[in-house]
Amino acid sequence: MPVIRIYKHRLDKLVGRTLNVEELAELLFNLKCEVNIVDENVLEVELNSDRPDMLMTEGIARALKGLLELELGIPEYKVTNTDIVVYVDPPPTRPYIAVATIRNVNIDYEMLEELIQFQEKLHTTYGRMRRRIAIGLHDLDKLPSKTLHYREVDIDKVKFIPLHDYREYTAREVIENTKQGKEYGHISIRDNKYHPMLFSGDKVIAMPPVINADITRVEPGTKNLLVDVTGTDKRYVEETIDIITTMLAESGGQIGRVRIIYRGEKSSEVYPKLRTEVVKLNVEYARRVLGLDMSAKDLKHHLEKMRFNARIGDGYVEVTIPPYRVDILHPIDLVEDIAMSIGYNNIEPLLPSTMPPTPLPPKYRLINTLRELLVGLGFQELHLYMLTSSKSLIKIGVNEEDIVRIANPITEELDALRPTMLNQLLIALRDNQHVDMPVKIFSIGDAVVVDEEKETKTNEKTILTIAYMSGKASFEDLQAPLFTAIRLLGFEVKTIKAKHKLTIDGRTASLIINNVNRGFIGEVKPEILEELGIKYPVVIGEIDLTNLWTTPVK
Amino acid sequence: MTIPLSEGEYKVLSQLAKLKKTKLDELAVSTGLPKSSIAAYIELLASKGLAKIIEEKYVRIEATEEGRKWVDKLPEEVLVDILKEKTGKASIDDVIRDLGKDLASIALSWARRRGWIKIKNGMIELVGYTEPKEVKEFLRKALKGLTLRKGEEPIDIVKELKKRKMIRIEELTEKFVEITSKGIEVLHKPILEVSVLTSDIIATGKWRTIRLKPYNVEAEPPKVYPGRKHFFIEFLEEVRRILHEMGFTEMKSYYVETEFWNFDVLFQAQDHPAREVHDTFHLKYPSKGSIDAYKDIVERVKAVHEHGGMSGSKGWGYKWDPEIAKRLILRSQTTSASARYLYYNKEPPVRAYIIGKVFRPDEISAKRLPEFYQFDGIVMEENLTFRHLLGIIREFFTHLGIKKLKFKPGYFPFTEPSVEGYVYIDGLGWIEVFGAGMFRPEVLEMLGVKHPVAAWGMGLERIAMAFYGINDIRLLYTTDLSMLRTMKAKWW
Repeated sequence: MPVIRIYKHRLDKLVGRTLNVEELAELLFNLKCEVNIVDENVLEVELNSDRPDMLMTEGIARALKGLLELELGIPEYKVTNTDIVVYVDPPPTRPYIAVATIRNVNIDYEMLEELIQFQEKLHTTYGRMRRRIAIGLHDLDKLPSKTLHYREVDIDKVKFIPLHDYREYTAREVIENTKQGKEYGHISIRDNKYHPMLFSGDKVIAMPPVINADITRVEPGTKNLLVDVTGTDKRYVEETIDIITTMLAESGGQIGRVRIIYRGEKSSEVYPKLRTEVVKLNVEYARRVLGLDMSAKDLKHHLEKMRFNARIGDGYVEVTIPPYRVDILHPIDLVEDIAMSIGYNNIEPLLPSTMPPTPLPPKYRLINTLRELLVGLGFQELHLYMLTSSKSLIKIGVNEEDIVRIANPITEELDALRPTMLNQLLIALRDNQHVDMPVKIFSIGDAVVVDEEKETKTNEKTILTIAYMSGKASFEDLQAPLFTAIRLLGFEVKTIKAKHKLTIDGRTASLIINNVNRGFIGEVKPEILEELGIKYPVVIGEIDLTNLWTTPVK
Repeated sequence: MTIPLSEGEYKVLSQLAKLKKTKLDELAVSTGLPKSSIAAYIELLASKGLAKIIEEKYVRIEATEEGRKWVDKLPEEVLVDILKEKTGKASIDDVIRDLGKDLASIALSWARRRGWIKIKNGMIELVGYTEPKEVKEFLRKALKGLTLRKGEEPIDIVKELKKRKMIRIEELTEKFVEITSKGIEVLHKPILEVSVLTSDIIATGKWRTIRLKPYNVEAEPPKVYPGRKHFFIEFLEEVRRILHEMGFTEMKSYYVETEFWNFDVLFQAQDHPAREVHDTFHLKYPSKGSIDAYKDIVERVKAVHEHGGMSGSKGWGYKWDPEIAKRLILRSQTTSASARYLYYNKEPPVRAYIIGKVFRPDEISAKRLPEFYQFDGIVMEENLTFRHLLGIIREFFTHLGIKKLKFKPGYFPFTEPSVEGYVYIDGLGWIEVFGAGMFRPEVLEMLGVKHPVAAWGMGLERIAMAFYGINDIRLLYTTDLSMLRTMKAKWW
């Protein structure tokens, strides 16, 4: 979840009240935020990803003013028309653009810092790493021309000075040679030749979503802004221009509309649309979801605190949703805001009707009894990772095509889902050669093997893996306790001569439980012990317990 | 009188009774025990007053060369012979001439001491003579060497002969052991002391005649280790027990899951960051599953994602791709089990849970692991509200012994209202442990459920760590037996 650093004095100024940090932390807690106090003036705020409208002090202040009842309902923003026009020849890789201006924002160093942070956080969360949308910020007064063009260009034929640079690059050079280019150059390029570009007159001002040109650089002292939002999804582009313009207008700026004219189409768009939406919230619905006895008046009050406009109707409240509240998909989202306004910790928990206890499923009854018996027989239970190394599995003889393998493992050591615990138990033995002997260990857990028949292409089983290691360890040291445990569970057990890649011929047997072959036990081959670095003899066994709990007991 | 004897002591003492007074060497030979053990047993027996160690001193007397020379006739006797020849009188000068100066002086000195002669004006006169038989007899014996108990030797003779350098004397000490009357008595009715009480001793009745040697019961015993259940699995089983007590039924999903059940049904848009490689393990092999069996729900999922379908929602407004939904991943949340369960159990009341491993590509550290146990629960009832959700979670934590809870509004794509829960643990403070909420109308619509469903999910590691006072999550997976064997049992 995004974490932003904000200046408390900016927040105080925007809210119009000096809040103490504890009070502030408590208020923000009820707005889904966690506050970490860095120092008197700097706060780190962890937000939820559903509220891009709070990624800057301006947005947080807007929400706080409602909660503190300093302002209720949707704020009014001044919007005027501008004579800026954007001609668009939609680039196929990034067809949508929205542009707007904000005047009188008077950017200082701290605001610039927050603005850049806002842009970055919005890019990573809401913007899906700039794929879905990306924002460009420009100093309006540095704009070479009021006529803008957004279109695809040949990356070898267009040159500009990227932001914070002094050399002129071709677009290809930007993609291939700059940090930004390497990171984001792949997103909207087409055929390794064409890329979207935003021009002011004949000058490049942005290469979305990679980088802006230096020519329109925003810096402390910048008074008026031009904002461009480009993207692959019209809805998110439009929402984003609303979010950013209303956010900046909170500091007193005036929003200016910009006309977008699509080539060859008669229609044009004007941004920002600042479109509000009206939803009817059924009073009974809100009461039923929250389990609280609330009147339409109560709902209206809470909704206004959460900065919606609300009008009481007959059995419903008509709610106007501000343009920046992009998280409201359904009336249920308004119900959550009402609960937040009440304060989650002011809502008295209620017990649902009680239900009679249910029996523990046979699987756990069997496993827990087996654990009890094995522990009684002196075996220590281990808790092991389900992720393991495909290499170590193959080494102990597991077929490669049985192993579920991860495409993006964090380490080669954990690149597979375990189909057995034999390798893990052997490693545990290797690591415990210094302790008092004998070492008697076991683990019961799930294992997964590939099975093309299943909808998930895998089959799951529950296995017991058990081992005995000591200065003198022989077959019977494990066979005896296993026979005891299995017979005490009420099953018939016998061993028959078998072979296993891990264990010595003539000292290996299959374990037959109620006439089903469920595994093996055997003495580990000395060559394997030597390879693992184990200096003690080891007897090991693995039993498939799957559905043993449905087997009749004698 | 009961003085117990160890087997060794008994053996030595009974031999001693036969031999009466004896040397240690002889005892070693006759008992067959090593001499060092014999010495130790004798010390023990002596300390109990059953044997007596006697040290006897001897003198060993042997004649010297000088002694050998004069064994037949002492020098003064030679003088007597000379005087007899000269009719009883002779001058000193004559005697010196006959015997030499040294011998003459010895002979004169000893003859006068014995009172045989008188000397006057340089003349020696024989006045009497008695043969010193005893002296000569002793000297003769000393030729072969003789040993006498100290104090039993003829003091004057020895003294004289020693002075005359005719004998040399050596003092000797010899140790003897002797059984005491108490020893004889104890041996008559012996009490044996043994260290190991064997079945043989009990079965033969031998225990009647033995005594068990006392142990040093205050000494630290050797280390022994029980087989133990793993503490974290015990914790998970405790959670499971509580849930069954609260009327929950177990539900199931798969470790390898389609994105459909892990994300799509839970209203997570297909470009949601949680579905990307940073947050979800995708599979190299096998890589694609099947959703063919769920045609009805697949259709609803598509509609809801694209425009809200019949749910009353706006939806996410993008084109939903069934191919993405088929991709296989390691389940990143057990909420997939809740979705699968509700698909088959649409009618209230429902109380179901899963405790299962989920996987996320987090680097291994003290705080995070790429796999952890998630506990998901759902409750469906006719008139279930958000308050009931808070109530049932509070009840669960009460069973676990946690009383203080704090709720924070949260965001999850599949619930609304959503809540993040914190619990207060003494010594640790508030820790965030769960996420919960009412399943969104979009999710219920996709699943075909018409009743409200409260749902929650929580990682169990953090709570277990707080319970066991562990601050490194990796310790939940340690295979270090020296830790597992000695870790305190949590019974309180």
